[in-house]
Amino acid sequence: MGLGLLVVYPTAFLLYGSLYSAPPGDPGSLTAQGYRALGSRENLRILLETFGFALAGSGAGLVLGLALGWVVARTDVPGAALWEAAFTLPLFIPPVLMAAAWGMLAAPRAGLLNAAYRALFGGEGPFNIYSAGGVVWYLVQYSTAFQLSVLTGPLRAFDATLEDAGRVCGASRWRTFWLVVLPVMYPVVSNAFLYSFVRGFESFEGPLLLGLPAGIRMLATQIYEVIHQRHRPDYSLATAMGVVALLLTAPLVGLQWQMQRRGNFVSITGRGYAPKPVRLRRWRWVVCTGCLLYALLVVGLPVGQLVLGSFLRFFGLYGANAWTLQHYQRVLHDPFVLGALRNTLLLGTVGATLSMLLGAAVAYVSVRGRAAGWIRAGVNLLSWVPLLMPGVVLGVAFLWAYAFLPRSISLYGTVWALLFAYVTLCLPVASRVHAGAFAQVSGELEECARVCGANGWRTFWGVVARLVWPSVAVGWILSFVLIVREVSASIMLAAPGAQVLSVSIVYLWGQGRLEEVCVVAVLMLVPVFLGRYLVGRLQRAELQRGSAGG
Amino acid sequence: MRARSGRGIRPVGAVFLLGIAVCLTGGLTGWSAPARDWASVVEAAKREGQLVLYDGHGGAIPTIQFAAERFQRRYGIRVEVSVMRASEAVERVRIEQRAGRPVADLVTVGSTTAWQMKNLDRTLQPIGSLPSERKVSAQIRLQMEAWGIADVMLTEAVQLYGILINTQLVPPQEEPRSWMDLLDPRWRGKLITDDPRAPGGGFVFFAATYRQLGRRYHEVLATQRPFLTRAIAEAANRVARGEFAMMYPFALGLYPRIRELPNVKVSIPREGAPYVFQGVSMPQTVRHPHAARLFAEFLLSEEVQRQLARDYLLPAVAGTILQAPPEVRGLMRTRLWDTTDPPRADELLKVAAEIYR
Repeated sequence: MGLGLLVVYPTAFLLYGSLYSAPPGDPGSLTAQGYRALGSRENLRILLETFGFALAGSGAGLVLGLALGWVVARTDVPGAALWEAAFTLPLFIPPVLMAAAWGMLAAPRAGLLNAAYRALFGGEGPFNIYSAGGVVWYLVQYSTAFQLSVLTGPLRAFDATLEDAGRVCGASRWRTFWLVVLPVMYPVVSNAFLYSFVRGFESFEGPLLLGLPAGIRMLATQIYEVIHQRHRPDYSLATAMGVVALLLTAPLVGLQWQMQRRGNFVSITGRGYAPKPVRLRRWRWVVCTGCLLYALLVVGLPVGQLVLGSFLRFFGLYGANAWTLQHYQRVLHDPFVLGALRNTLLLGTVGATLSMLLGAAVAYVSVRGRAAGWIRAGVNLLSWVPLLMPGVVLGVAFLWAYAFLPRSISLYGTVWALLFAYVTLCLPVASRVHAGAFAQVSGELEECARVCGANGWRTFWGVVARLVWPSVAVGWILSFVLIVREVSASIMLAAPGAQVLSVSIVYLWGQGRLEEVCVVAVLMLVPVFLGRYLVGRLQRAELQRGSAGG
Repeated sequence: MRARSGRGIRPVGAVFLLGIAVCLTGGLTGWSAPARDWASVVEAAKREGQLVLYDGHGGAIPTIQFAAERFQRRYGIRVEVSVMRASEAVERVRIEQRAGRPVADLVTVGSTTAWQMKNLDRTLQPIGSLPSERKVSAQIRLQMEAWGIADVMLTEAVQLYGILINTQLVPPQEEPRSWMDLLDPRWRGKLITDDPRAPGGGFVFFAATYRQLGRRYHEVLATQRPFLTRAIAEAANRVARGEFAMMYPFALGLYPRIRELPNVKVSIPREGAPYVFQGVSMPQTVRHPHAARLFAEFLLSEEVQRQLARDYLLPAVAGTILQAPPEVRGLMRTRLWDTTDPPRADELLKVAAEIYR
């Protein structure tokens, strides 16, 4: 029922928009014009290239995410909690800022990296962020950060006795990882990869700011162009693109679900588990240096650029008299921004919590439920739908859907509309995180609890929830961050007088007040970064306790 | 390349002639006497106590926020400003009107958007007569009448477009004096421009120069490989940072933020400035009609009009510019060259998309 209202209802409006010659409320007729326009050579090329960019970004992200996740979760590398928090930091930076920061760093002429290269070696610098490579790099950063944050919890909880068994049989550490760890981790890995791939497929800000200048068009920027860059928005074409994105990516979800059903991925059983770290010995400081270099690359450079920007009189102009605190003073005294910050924190907290609860229910039904297979598959697919459609077009769908609710339901124009939209948008990540975690917990633990007289709720909270909470904590943070960063639906639905941070960033950006945007970014980064660090510490402490008890 | 000579009467000339005709014949529909019961409008507005404004300029005109704060202070009427892109504001208003759930009482618009909302979406209502509407300059009123949108859009200012120059990258002797100078091959790859393929300043420039200088001008300009963007404020920042030598068209409303920087200056070529009217419109059905009208009237008040001038926008109320700071007056005393033709916007946007691929 909840899924129907949150997901099916707005999707129905998208479908309607794609098959009707006019947007909802205007007279028109049934037409396939939008779909016909999609078949042009140009649009097909864009679809193919979008697929390629998403695959490159998520593939590289998976490799890096797994490698770095393994290092911080399974080894005794110094400062693991700090590295983990640092590697996931790109997730907390609004994409528009990340793109701007890289523009500052690697713009062909004025980029700092190119300036440094010129100073050292002369000639023109080799970096050009406005290129296909720049777009892929942008996607890789987010993909790595996302996959790493999803994978570290399960990697940390992985029962080391399974690895030991592999080693006893004579397999090398790499072979053990490939043949034992990875197959058992399949649900989490495939969920993380698929989620990341689809987010890359629908990525917007990076392709808009870094790709379009180089003539690179991706699906989301094309939809944006169709809606916002024409005198009359072509909603039938835009919504048709959204529906086609859904149709192209839905089979991947189905395939992944089928493969997941066939396997056994349990690593946490009633026999106890032992997540002991791998000792790196003499490689310890080499790996630590590698972590430092990667952190410097994906965090130090862009975040450093943003932090510098927040103290600069004018972002990008350096000199003796270039530094100031006035942007902090302005932002901290701006009632518009402060109100938006308050609303965002409230909506983020409530929205992330609700979406995690709903995600848990959805994942439990699809992974653990005893309903018929097609019902479980349907619930699983529905939970993916908000992710399978580009945010630009989904924002319009929410607008249409909430405006045309029955008169007795006054959702439109209130802060509740945003909350509903946020819960819907977070549902894919919330259910993915839960599904991956549930798939690793043996059903025998629940059966044991039931035998001991616990009812369904008590079994869930007392057994399953206690085991999966490290992953759930990360899922909550990811959902919170998604809400804080969300732009498309926020702009369409933000209630007058109840603005949110992402909209105020658009407002500041629209005025060219990039330094104040940097201040907002820094204000956003500090608490979330600290929260992420503390959750990592708590997870480790909890696992060590579990390990000792097990 | 030679500028194409215009055939027939040019828009500015037509407006001038129309102005004389109007003066002789005694007025236009929008010139009706101010409402006698304006005091009752003010009282009703105070009773409504609230107003929702969709700022479709995306926050690019800071005067809107200034006006909202001053209005609230003066009348005690709360103004909720929602900042968004023009296309989002238009769609929000459209869907609210169709669904019968009005939220916006006013929406900030340019003349092309107002024309679209009136004639294509049919989502606007006449603002009605305001005590200060006669103060709006005759040139603006006549042009609005010519487009048939004088009843649904109150113009509070005119946005002028020039060229933003990075003085470290463009020596004084090489600064463009004419819009034709942008075609000089030395600027290839060094120009950033507001995307002409989308409604906005870039399109205003495209429409004006397409009419004044012809298609060939843009075909050659496109070969200069200008960097197309819709992030216009950031584009200005990028010129200041030295990523590009020049930005065109540069909306003068963006200038206050960067004018203190030592390495930028604005130039308006000798032909004159492309321009666009900026104002507010009222959706068909609103919840606070009196507050909306009072705010529209307030936009023509002396304090808001002066602030517009300080923000480098040409105030709509004739004569206000004379009270502006000298550096503003210097730029604003330029010739208003040409603007968009709202009914032809769709057709010209397609041409722009053909040329700038």
